[in-house]
Amino acid sequence: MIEDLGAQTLLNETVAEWTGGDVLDVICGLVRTVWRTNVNRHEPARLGDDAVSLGVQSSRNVCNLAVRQLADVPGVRARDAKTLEVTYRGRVLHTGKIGSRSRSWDVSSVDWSLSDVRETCAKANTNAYLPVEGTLFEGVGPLPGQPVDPKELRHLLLMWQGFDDGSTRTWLGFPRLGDVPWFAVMLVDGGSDGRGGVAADGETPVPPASDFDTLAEPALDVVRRSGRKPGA
Amino acid sequence: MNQPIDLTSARRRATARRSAGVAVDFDPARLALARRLAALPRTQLGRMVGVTPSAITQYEKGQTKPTLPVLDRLAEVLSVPVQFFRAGYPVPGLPTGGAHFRSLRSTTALERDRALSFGELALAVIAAVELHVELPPVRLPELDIPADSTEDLDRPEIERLAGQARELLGVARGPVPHVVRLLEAHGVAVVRLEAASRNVDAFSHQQGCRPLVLLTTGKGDKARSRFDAAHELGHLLMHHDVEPGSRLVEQQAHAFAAEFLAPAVQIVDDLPDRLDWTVFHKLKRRWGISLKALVMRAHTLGRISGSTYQRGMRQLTTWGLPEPGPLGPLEAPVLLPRAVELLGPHNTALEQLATDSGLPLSQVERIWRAAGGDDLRPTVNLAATHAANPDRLSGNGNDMKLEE
Repeated sequence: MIEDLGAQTLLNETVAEWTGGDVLDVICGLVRTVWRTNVNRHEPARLGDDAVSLGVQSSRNVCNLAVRQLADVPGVRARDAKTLEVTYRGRVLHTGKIGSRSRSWDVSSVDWSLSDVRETCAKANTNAYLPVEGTLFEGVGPLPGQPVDPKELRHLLLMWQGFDDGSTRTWLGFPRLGDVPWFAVMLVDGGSDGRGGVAADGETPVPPASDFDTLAEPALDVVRRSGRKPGA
Repeated sequence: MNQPIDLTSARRRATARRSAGVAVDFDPARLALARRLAALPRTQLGRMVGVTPSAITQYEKGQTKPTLPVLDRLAEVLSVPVQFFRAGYPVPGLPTGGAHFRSLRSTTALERDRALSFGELALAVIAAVELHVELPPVRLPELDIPADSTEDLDRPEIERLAGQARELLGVARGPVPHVVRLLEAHGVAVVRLEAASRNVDAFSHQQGCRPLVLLTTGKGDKARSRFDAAHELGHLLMHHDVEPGSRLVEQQAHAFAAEFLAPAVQIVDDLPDRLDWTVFHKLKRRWGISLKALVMRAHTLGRISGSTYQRGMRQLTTWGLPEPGPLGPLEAPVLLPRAVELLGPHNTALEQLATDSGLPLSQVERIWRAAGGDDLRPTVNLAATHAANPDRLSGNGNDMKLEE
């Protein structure tokens, strides 16, 4: 997939900012937890669950929990606007679940026309940023008033995919209209191989390496000298 | 143009001062200490007090003693009580030449002297604490540094020394949990400089009664502060007889800190080969070191090219400090506050230390706060608690807040 270099740089910066502000971690964490929980409680035979009910249930759970968990995060506004909508540092993130549960699904195959919200985002981005690089007019330069600053991309889409074993993959990107659905997109959660980062129940997960501040501190030996009293 | 000197009124003032008597038990070194703490040159202090700069010099050298009115005025200008100048409780000085200041060019001598005198004050309070409490003995390891070759230490040699330091200080494989606590556990006094010394970087000194590390608030960046503490550890372990302040010595301490906090063999495979900020953030949380240090590490260890490194640095400059992805509150020292708790309610204990050190209570409180006193808010008499359960001391400060 051909992506826009300026948008890719902006996306890298945005991911760093949103990770630093804990927003991305909260949402990715919820996606993992919600999907695994719902896969565990998915009972087609007994309760009449199906793929649609699983998908809708999970999307609603992610939306409701994210609004709740992000309520107190400084600088973040999260609301339920049919789907989850998070505003942070001048950009708006929408989430969407991918219907396919196949690991061979390709992020460049998304179709925005299947969702009003996503299509609106892609349209807004396309109107806000019209680069000349990679077009027939590259040598001519931009027309007067042509929006060529990638920083004008305000709409982010976080797309996530759940698998039957309880694992997930999550991408973040700037959607656009046209033959190529993204100005830039990257996998933000789901393991380095993109095959899903959370093991389903029954598998033996690899324990994550401990963060420095979860480890035991060295002991301090401080002992009162015998025979001396305060004021002595 | 200078005003003509009114000799008659000057003589009248001098006579009046003399008739009021001189300070008999005056400690010249304490005047110098108070002046340095206030970062005032002698000329300015003399002007503010109404005496000549040479009079201030003579007071500080013990050649003459100030009269009582001058002493009052000195105390007022220097914001200390008069009894601060009383003789009998010498505060050992720290030679300027023994301090590993980092940015000699960006700080004035007065600023450095103020920071150093704050360290002297801290050691005086700690010495008073040690009359009542056994603090951890100084147990900094002796590294296997080739004789007479400190200035020739190259990166592989420094990496070896950092690895040796980790081993001898008992650091397990993986991240260093708490650098400040590690220093304190091995007998190093750690104090945070006050806001007035914000232009001075962290520095260390090892010619006092204990090795001393003075940290800054580092713009509130925990990762940066941890690196500073590891950098100073590098000085304390490697630079015993080296002239402080040279660029080479500072680079060696930097290389030591990088390897000490994140050994190359343990981190190299996890470092990305491009500017993948998501991975850098994860490594930052795991190792407790800054994005900047990680990008530098990725470059030093050959994971990213020079141009990628430059791009990364430009991006980090754009973000500024504190960096994105904060790691939480700075690592706070706890040694002095914990020792004070053993002496009883902290108000009483600090008064005791003021008596023992011959320092005003306000100065002792100042050091107590800088040594982490404000971060520890106990609600019990810990002397009784620890006597019953000494193991509580090995936990972190949060343990103490829970006791009732």
